[in-house]
Amino acid sequence: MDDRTLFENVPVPMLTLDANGAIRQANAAALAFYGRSAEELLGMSLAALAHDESQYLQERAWRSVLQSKRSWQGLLDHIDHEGALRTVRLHLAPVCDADGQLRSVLCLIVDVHQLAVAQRLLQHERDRFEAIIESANDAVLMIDSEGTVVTVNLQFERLFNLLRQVVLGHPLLELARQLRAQPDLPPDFINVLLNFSSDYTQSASYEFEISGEARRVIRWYTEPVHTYSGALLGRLFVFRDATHELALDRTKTEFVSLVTHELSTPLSAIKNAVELLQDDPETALSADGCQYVQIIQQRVETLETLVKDILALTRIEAGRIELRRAYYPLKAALDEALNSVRALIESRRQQLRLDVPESLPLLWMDRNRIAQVFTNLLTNASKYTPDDGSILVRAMRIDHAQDLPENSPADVRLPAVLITVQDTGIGIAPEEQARIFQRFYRAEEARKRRIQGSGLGLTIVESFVKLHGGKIWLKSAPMQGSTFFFTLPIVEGQ
Amino acid sequence: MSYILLAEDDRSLQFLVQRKLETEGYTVRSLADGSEALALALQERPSLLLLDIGLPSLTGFEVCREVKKHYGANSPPILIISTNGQDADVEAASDVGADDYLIKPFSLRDLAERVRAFLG
Repeated sequence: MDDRTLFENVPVPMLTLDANGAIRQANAAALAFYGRSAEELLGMSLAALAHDESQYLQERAWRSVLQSKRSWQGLLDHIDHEGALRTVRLHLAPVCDADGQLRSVLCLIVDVHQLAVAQRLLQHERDRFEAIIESANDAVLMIDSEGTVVTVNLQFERLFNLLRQVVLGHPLLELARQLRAQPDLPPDFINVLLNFSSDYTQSASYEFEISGEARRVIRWYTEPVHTYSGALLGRLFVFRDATHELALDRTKTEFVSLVTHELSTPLSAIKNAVELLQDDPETALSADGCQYVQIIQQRVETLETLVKDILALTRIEAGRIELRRAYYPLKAALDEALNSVRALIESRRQQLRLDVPESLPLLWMDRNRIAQVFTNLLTNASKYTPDDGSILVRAMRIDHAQDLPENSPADVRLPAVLITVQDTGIGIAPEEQARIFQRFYRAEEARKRRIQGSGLGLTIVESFVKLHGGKIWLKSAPMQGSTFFFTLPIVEGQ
Repeated sequence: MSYILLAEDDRSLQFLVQRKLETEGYTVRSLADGSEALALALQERPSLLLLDIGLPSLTGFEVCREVKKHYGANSPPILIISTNGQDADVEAASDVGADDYLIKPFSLRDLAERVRAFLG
């Protein structure tokens, strides 16, 4: 195949140009690309093929080729056969004769339009991603799978007083070195951060304090990052200034403490006055009077429980519950609870059965809190069970996982005492069972039947059991009663 | 004469507690001020003290500490009346040598039972 045939048949648009930039030859692919006949194209200048905005660049490229007699390539926009703009990679190759005189310029037009569009889209996505990261209120740090810092944002620069130029592209170790130079940052935090430069599996969240004049509490978390297809991209760190929200939390806790504290004395007075009305023979009431006083008594008890629950919950949320533990028999907590719920159970003529062996080991517990667990579970059992129903409390020692009931969670700490509170009540629908421990959540059926409650009882029960290292779960079906299970680990030689 | 010293600055509560203890057969002397309560307790030994924590001039804790210091091994039993949710109070009560504590809102029946446990 001679040069001419080759030129003609190459599937890439090609032109030859004379020293004035006029087209001398054009192959079939060029005619097709520009949508012109050979007659139209020959004699036309190269400039006529380019889009207006590419004219300047192409003109400069042309002149540089003429002057230097060296080839040039670059991206330009040309107008195709449909009059549409196409991004092309233009190659200009000067062809000189033996004594160095320019005879013509070979011009290759490679259509890279789709590639360019894809690249522009990619760039757009990258810009968008960066803009999002940049405008985030949280400080963001990303390392790749080799531990090299690949992304930080403005908040990161502000929080750690570092410019991105000095950390981007450097290993996390280098970032740690920079952070260590800052006396206000706790060394522990930097050590924890560094541990993650080689760990790409764990997710974790932490908190640390920036000391100094502008004392701040920073909450942060880190997660490995994978693509949709599962390839490891690296690890993300997000740091949030939690100073204000913590201050707000504290104010809320203090406020609730204050309110409940202020409520306690008047509540006590009302409760005590009612007791005297009921107990003092000198103030003996008529039958109606007794009923009125009983209403006051019941409602005061409701208020009392509510105040206690709100206070407990606020403390739980603020992480300010401290257990006062000692070794007690489980019975001690149960008896304390029965003192307050026995009247309720009796008033509904429900049968209460206890199966709590004397042989159980002493438990390392906060007696009042476990009593509260029993009180709440027994109050629920009674409230959600019809009159004349029955309630069964059982406790047993469990040493081996195979002795646990079949619906137990996997990670029960053993040995433990397993306590079950079983009723013959209205039960809980399966879809609601996961939610009943959420604060203020009340089961549909309970609301429908207008059974009073704040939706706090089980939230408190769950957190007290957890604080003791135990687990709580349930088994229930609508109209078939509920059984609550909880464990208290047996801790010896404390 | 043997008597129970009650220091409580909430007048209605003071009245009710006094009434309950009187119906139980005890003699009760009530005060609303911490330093007055302390003065009386040092001057004439009560058989038992019931001290609210938040009292004017001296807190229940301070009265408790001073009474325990004054009478030593022969000190009368002291019950501290704390308020719902003040966990720290209960710790502090045992630190100053209190023999028992009650948390408001408490039950008068429960109060009477605890007093009986000390005085019979």
